[in-house]
Amino acid sequence: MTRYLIRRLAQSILILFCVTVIVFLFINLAPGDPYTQRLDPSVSAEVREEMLQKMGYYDPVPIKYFKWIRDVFRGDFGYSIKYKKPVWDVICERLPNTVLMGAGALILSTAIAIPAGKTSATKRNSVFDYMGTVLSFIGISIPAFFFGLLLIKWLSFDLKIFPISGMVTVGAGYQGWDFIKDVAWHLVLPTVVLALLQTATLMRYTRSSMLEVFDHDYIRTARAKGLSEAVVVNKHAFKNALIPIITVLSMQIPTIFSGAVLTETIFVWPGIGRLSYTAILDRDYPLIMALLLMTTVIILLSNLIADLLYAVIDPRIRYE
Amino acid sequence: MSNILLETKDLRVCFKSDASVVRAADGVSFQVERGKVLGIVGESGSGKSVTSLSVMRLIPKPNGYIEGGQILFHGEDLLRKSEKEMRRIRGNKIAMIFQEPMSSLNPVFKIGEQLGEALKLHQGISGKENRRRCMEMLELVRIADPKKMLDRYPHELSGGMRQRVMIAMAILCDPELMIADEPTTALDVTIQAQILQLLRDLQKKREMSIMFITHDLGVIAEIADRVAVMYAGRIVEEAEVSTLLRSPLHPYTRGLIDAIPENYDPKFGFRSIPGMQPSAQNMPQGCSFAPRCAYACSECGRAVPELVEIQPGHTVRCILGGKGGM
Amino acid sequence: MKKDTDNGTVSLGSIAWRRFRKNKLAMFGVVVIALLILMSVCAPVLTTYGRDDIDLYNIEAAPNSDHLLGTDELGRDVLTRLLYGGRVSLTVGLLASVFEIIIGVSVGAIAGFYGGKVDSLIMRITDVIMCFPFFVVAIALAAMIGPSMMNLIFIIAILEWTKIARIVRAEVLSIKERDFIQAARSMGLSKMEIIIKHVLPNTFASIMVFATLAIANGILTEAALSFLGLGVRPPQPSWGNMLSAAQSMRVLQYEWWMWIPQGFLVFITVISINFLGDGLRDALDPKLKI
Repeated sequence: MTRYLIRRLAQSILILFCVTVIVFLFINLAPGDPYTQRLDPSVSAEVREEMLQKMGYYDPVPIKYFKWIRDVFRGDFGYSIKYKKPVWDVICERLPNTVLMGAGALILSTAIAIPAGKTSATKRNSVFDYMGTVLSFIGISIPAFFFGLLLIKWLSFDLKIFPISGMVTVGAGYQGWDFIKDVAWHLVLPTVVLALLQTATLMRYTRSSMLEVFDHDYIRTARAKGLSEAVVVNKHAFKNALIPIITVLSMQIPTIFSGAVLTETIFVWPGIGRLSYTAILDRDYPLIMALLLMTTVIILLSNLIADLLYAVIDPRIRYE
Repeated sequence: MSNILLETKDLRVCFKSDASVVRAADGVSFQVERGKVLGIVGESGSGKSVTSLSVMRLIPKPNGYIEGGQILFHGEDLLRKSEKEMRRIRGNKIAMIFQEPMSSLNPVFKIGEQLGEALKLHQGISGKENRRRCMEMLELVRIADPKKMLDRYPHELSGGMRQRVMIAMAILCDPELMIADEPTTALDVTIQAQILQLLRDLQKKREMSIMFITHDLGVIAEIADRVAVMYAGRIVEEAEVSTLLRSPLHPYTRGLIDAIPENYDPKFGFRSIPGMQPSAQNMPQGCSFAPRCAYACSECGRAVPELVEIQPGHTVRCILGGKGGM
Repeated sequence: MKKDTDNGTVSLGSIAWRRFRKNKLAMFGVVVIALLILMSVCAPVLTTYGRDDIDLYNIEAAPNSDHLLGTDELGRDVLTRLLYGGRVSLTVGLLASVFEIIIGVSVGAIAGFYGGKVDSLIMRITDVIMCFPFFVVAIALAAMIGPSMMNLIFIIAILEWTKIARIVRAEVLSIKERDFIQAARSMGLSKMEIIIKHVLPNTFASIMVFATLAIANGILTEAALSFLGLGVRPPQPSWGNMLSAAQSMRVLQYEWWMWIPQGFLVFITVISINFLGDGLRDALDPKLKI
């Protein structure tokens, strides 16, 4: 198992290295270099020149890369052009909001999709299965932002059940418990929108994965032992079906970041998705690159966790 | 008390496919006596596995279903039992082992877990006592170091070891009937002999009945008391093993016996039955073996022959009444 | 021998077609897509208005007998723009899918067939690309190279070819070891010839299914990027950039004709293509062949 994990870790580090090189090249190819941006425009030409020298503006590219990586490891991603403060601070303000929404969506979609997919598979060709299939087709086919707009129009404007946008009621100044309730209330629609696609995808995979497992001989063995159908499905079949399900779950993490861009934009949710979008429109390169790098690292980490989970579930990998 | 443990009467099992319905077992009737081994022999597709799965009521749903007939276990019809009552019988009174030891064990659970499950379910034994009983069974199937075995995963074991584990799992609740569906087919010849020996010993020791399904008459000769030969969904001949091997009445049985490698006769070369078993979709009229039968006459195509008792305990489904096979 | 294979393919094709025809959802998809293509191709015949005809006296008019789906903020007929917009959305989906397949199939086939260093290099490249959050990179690229229809197609293709490359690679790896490829090799055919003549035809089913799903994905990406103003630029209409009208609260709340039909068309197109793709998979997947 250690060998397996070490191999995976080495692969991830290699990918991470490639990603940093690409991101770095982006920074240096992009118009408006990140060095001059940091300087106070009011200083004299000599001071300016001297500072550029000190910052490594005239260094050869590999040295620049090395220095940049060193800074990144220290958590120094440079200064945001638009917000006039360290990129890291800007991200830290927004990241928890996205994590809140993303985690909510992940939990919601898993809680719906896995039981639904299981039921679909066990009651194959039933009305439930048919409805589930059509609903998951709708889920993967409707543009998430359009679905979000429909929900805003219907539930927020017309029925006035949910707030239209934002994360808190502006000007209400809630404290403590009221604040939590207020945020939770604002969280409902964005989470549902973000969860829609995941739910549909995950349900389809759970269904097909379960159906595939049902064909195996060991399921017949479990039935021949006299186990109830619930135990056969939930214990013997599900644990085997989990491996592809985990793959899909780990692949959902990048989708959540992509989905967050649109969802946060239409709900005006102050997270890193909307931050990425505005940073791109503002051409705030240091911020864009930091965001890209960070999301990539999160995606890589989630892939690594998936690898770890495979090993936990499947003894054949564990003893490899 | 009757001596018959299991009896099927006119069992008919069907499978639906895209466009058609296929009858995989057509009027199968046989009896398994207490403490005896009934062998069921036939080619793949002859309906022997389907018959055994029906006894467990494990025909794959929703495409397969039991169309009619009776399966009497202790004189009670299993087909009339509820699913819940049936679960109390499966793995407890009737246990089953399968052809593919490599895939019949769940890869993600330890052997101990998979063994103990049935014991806990049927006898409510858990914890240390459960482990102890499992170890005992593993010892009984002659697995060295049973304690270590409990914590192993199936992929760490060889095919023969897995089949031993399957057998241990089957006898754990002391079943009255064991259904063995080609338990040795996937194994090497030497391992095959060991497993057969093991099954025979266990059967004698525990006075268990076995329904042994195989395509190999040679294996039947080793283990069975009585034997039923199946062809294209029907039993075509049934007799005591020694009788059947000595004086087979059905031309198909004769062909099977000739095909046993031990009966290889250099004068005739390697003999096999010409032709193929008809597929269930286009079953010939009349006797289903007629198209391959050297003795077939126009009479054979008219109607399915009845199963006739030629001698006490020896029945055959052939209009020649066995004369063809002599 | 030759005759046998011919019969094989013919019956396989007809089995696939029979299965496909029986799939009601897939047939629904085919009909809807055919209608949509027909409508967008025949746009000039179906409407009396020009695509960009501005009518400032008739701004944001609700649906009426003159304008069946009302007018937009410049008084342009919404229905007309929807029909023309269909051309853009369908073209983006189709072309992006074609380019993805061209890149993905060639790269995947090379990786699978040559193996070794070439293979691991290509696989690491796909790893890196798949590791980026697709949408963030897409908008970053769109902002860098500028929004336009061709750029959009380029961005989708360059970011999405990795999936089909992996599928083709896996299939090539499994086919490579089969007897007929070994035979072709022993007959002295070059590697390239073998790939083109023998390996790729065997991956046909997966490529077809992937292609349909890629079209659906392309249309969704077009809609999303254009909605954000980073895709197709007005005045050229696309379903996505028409939807961006809904970013205005007023439009969202009161002027449904400026965004709901647009979104619905994207949805119905994508779901039809998905039904079609699913039907194709069921019909072509050799695992299901009886």
